[in-house]
Amino acid sequence: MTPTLAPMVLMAITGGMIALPLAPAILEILQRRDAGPLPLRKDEGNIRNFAHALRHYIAPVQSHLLDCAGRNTIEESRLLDGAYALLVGKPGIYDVPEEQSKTLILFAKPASLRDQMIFGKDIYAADVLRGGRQNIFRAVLADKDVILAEESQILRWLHANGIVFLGRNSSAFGRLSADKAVHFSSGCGFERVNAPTVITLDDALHSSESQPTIVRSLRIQEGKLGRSRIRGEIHLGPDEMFLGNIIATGAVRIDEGTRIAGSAKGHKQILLGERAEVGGSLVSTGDIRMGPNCLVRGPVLADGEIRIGSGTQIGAPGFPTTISAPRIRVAPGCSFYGTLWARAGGRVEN
Amino acid sequence: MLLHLFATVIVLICIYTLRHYCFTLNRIAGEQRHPYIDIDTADWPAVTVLIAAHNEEAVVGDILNALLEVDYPEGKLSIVPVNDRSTDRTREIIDSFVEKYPGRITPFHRVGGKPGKAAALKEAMAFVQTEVFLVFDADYIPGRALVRQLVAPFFDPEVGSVMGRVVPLNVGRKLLTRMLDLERSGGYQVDQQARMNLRFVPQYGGTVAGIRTYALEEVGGWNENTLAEDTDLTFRLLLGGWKTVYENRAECYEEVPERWPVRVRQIMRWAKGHNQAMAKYAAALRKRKNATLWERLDGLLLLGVFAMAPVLMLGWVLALILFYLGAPIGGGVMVLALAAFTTLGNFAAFFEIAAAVRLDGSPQRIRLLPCTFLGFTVSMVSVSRAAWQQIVASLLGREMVWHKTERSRVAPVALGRPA
Repeated sequence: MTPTLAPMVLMAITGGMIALPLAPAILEILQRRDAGPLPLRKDEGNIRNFAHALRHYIAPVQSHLLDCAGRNTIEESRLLDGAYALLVGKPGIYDVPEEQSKTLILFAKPASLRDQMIFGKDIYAADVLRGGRQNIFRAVLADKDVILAEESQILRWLHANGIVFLGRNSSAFGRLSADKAVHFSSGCGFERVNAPTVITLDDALHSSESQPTIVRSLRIQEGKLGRSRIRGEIHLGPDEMFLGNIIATGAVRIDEGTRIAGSAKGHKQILLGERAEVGGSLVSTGDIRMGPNCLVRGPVLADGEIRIGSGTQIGAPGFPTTISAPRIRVAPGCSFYGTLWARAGGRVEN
Repeated sequence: MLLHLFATVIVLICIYTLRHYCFTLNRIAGEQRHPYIDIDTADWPAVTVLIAAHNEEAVVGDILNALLEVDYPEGKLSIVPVNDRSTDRTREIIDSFVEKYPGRITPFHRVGGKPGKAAALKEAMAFVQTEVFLVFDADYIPGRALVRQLVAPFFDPEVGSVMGRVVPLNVGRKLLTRMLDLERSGGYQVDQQARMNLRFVPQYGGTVAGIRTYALEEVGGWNENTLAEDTDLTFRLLLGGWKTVYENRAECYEEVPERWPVRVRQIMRWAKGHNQAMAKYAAALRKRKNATLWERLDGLLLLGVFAMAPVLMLGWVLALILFYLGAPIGGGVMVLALAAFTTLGNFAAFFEIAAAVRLDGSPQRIRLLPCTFLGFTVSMVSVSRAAWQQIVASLLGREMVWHKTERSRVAPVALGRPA
């Protein structure tokens, strides 16, 4: 190597070694493979998104389903992606053969299902759907009511345009929504629930009650409310009235019959005595315990567990709200208006 | 003396490095807090949206289109564009929207008064009759669910302000925009969310944000004598016992600067405003008991963020001086180690960006990470210059000037409907 070439080679090698770690960056600048803006979330969190998607998916076979209903027949059809769908145009009990339970099934008329059936694909019901005991559903979309017998399970989601009745010890994993109401029986499990009215009963399938209690109107405090921020715990005695918002760095205890016009927040446990009323929201970084017959107008949020005593009402018709916590335990006889969201799991107690 | 100063610089750098590591590890492995994300059903309160607009003809139409499309009860949403002494077509564009959508937009055309966003917002408060209001800069494009996401935390009576996540829209335009995109990812996806997770002090950022009107009134309203009304408000709320919360999923597109001079002016303004807040609130933060110990500690570190750039530069100079003076600083190895560490700005910030890109699920852009060295260098010099100017200005009694960030958008974006 010549004395002139040697330093040049050395410089080139050195330059290459310096540039090597930058090679991916230089390539990305030149090729611009990931130069677009980050996509924002398209899912706005609507609980009915899956239901809308299924309705859209089955739209091409809806006219065929109506034909089946007119002919009282059971036929097969193909969807746009080539998948089979079973169209049931007959009313009454349909004993789905095992191989067909792995197919998307569309019921055109009121349908009843036998006990202990497992449905590996989604179900659509244009009319009332009545499940058998210990049925397991992947997902259900119904245009009218859905009545699920004891110990049924919904694995992903269920939406009904009417009312959903869940028999004792049933479980609704994922999303459960209804345009009219959801009635839970004791022992039922749930995760995310949304309906104008959600009520818990001892036995929703055999109860004549449509509401566990008389719906109580909520007195709304007009005008601005101040706030009281307390270091430590706060205890409001029985049958008191507090005009304003309460924030405590410790626990909050509100005794029976006491009413808070605003909201309450505690950085430890919140205890609501019997018949206590909160005109705003209830927020805790710990647990919330609500005695029987409490009334809360706004959202109820806890970082821990929410336990709700019987006869409690949260939200009101026309004032929907959200109850959210990792774990929620509800006694039979409660009514909620809006969303009930137990991220790790909720249960209606026996 | 020099040795002690040098040791102090190293300790400060280490504290900030540790802070970055904690935030990054928290985001990767810690428990994530999104306490208000589940509020999808509520009796939503009436809300006013203030749009700060000063010579925003290039962008104001896009945000108005987007706000007219949001998913919020129509009768409860009041849109107030705050046209702050614009000399371009901003007024004309706003008025065309007012005419086209009667009753939905209430414009505030400000023709005089003190310059600056805080001064404009202060006067615009006369239009806010609601318990909660949101603030957007005119170059932001809110998504359909954004208003609800920003309002939901106000059901917590302790929340005084809410901050959403800012996502650059014009990422692919220049190398600068791509670097700013990475910086924003690190800042929001990791830094802000980690502070939320750890119950520290997420920062109210002045846009894509909400404020409880009562809380603002209680802490004395907008401070028009600051260059960073957002940082100023964050700390006044904290001292007043109000919480600022961060909503990572309340995402909103923004336009980042496309030219280096614009970026330099922007970061210099931020630095000066932030340092103003540091001078004003650091002492109070040490004493006030409305905040927890962790909030006060994090608040102090947050206040000192922009002061770290000149501190870092001082560290370099001291290291060189001490080396040539033969001081016992570990010789060349120490200088090399310090240089390697500090030339990369604050080393752990790169981990934040890497973690953020991973969390965003956008793996290719991580390749640009070495380029952020350039951005950090420019930022460090600009911020140091800003600090120097600030010292000189305070000595000479000069008033600081508010600079608006210039926009580069030339056509409406295809996210909203045409006006």
